[in-house]
Amino acid sequence: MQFVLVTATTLVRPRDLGALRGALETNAQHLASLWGYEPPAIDVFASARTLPDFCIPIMMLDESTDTVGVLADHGWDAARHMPFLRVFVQQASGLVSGEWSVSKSTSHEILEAIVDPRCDLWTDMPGRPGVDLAFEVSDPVQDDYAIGDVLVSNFVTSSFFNARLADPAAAAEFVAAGGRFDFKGTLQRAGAIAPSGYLILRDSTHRWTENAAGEPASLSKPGAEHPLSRTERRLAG
Amino acid sequence: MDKTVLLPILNMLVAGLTRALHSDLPGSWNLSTKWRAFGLGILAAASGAFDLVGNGSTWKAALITSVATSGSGVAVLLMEAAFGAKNGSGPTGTGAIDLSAAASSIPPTPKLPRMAMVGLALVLALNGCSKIGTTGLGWPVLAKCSADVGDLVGTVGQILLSDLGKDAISESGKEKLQQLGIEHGFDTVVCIVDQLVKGWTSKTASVTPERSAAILRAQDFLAKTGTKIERVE
Repeated sequence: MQFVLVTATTLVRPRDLGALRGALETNAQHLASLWGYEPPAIDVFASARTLPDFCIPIMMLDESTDTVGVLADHGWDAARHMPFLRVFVQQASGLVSGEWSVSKSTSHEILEAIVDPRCDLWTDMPGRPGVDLAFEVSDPVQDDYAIGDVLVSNFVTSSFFNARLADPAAAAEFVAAGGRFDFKGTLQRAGAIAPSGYLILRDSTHRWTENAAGEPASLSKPGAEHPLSRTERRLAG
Repeated sequence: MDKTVLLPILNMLVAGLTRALHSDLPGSWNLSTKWRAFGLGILAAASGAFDLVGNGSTWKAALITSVATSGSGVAVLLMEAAFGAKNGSGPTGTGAIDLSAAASSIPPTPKLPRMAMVGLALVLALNGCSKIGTTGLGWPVLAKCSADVGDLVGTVGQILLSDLGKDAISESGKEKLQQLGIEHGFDTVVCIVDQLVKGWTSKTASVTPERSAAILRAQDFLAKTGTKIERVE
């Protein structure tokens, strides 16, 4: 996979993207190694007008023209048969730091695009028969870690989706043997939710979000409840 | 002075002086040999300065350019003295050395050897700068590069990754990088290519087929420029 960072805003310069590129690539390598993917490459391009067909664009934009308050999203470009990612930097807390930094939002979208490029995968919710869980790797934790001075997104491992490891005893044994449910080692069992995370769930009748307290997720991420945000697209099906 | 201001001025100075001092061209001035020699000195200095500022050359290379430019000018003056300046199509310097007696005995066909001499001197001047490589004119002998790649990194990276050359940079890619060099400085472009290769070949970089191809193109390009890179951290 070849991602290319392209800026179409004066708030982020190409040289800023050049400074982020290495950390984002390392972050993606962390995910790739734990999930068994080929390590993706991330580079900076000047323009998205003439993209080679192997490139997945990550556009830096001031703000969304079709959504309100969204920090970042990604979707599927049916014409190119490729994902596309957008990061809306006007509301970001900074380039590399802060809770909603450009680097963290970009990282969040890259990781989720690697695992679920079309944004349409569901699996059984561990420990809850009859409930499906969206294949989102950053949402359950939605926290970060630093690579150098760049904050990037934490993510869950494939073990997080393993129904057998929803059992606390099995999970404890797994962790004691060096297993991890997320990159940072925050979560203690499959299907668990970190304090800042949430899940997107569905059953035969409806879809909903849920936070660590088992309540509908009160998403701190601005705009995440907007109809065209990734979460809402998931919920809408 | 800013390079974008200085370069056009130097360019106009070199072009204007070349025209003014060349007795064959319309618009040349009727100057005495003394004044033409003086103008030649200014032309040589301006050529060296243009080389230094425009092409990012070293002082040594710029000096060679100046000397070679002087050489070509002196050659022209000598050829005019030997064959007579009036044999060209344009006006003649009225104060030129009076060789009318010698001129009258020489057949009026000096234009070809004089042009050949000027051409030879020009080639010597350009070779003296070591700037004619397979990628074209302008690439510096030495580039001192810092880690800061600047905003051109996306443009250069896009050229290298999008290029269709398999194991080497394509003609189209070379032309694009050459154009960037003209617009933003040849040393800047070389430094960015070098920095990209450094990043792509680092131990932590992801290896993809597209990136591996881009590395080959970048290395081929750097080899063709012949530029020695000195990294300044």
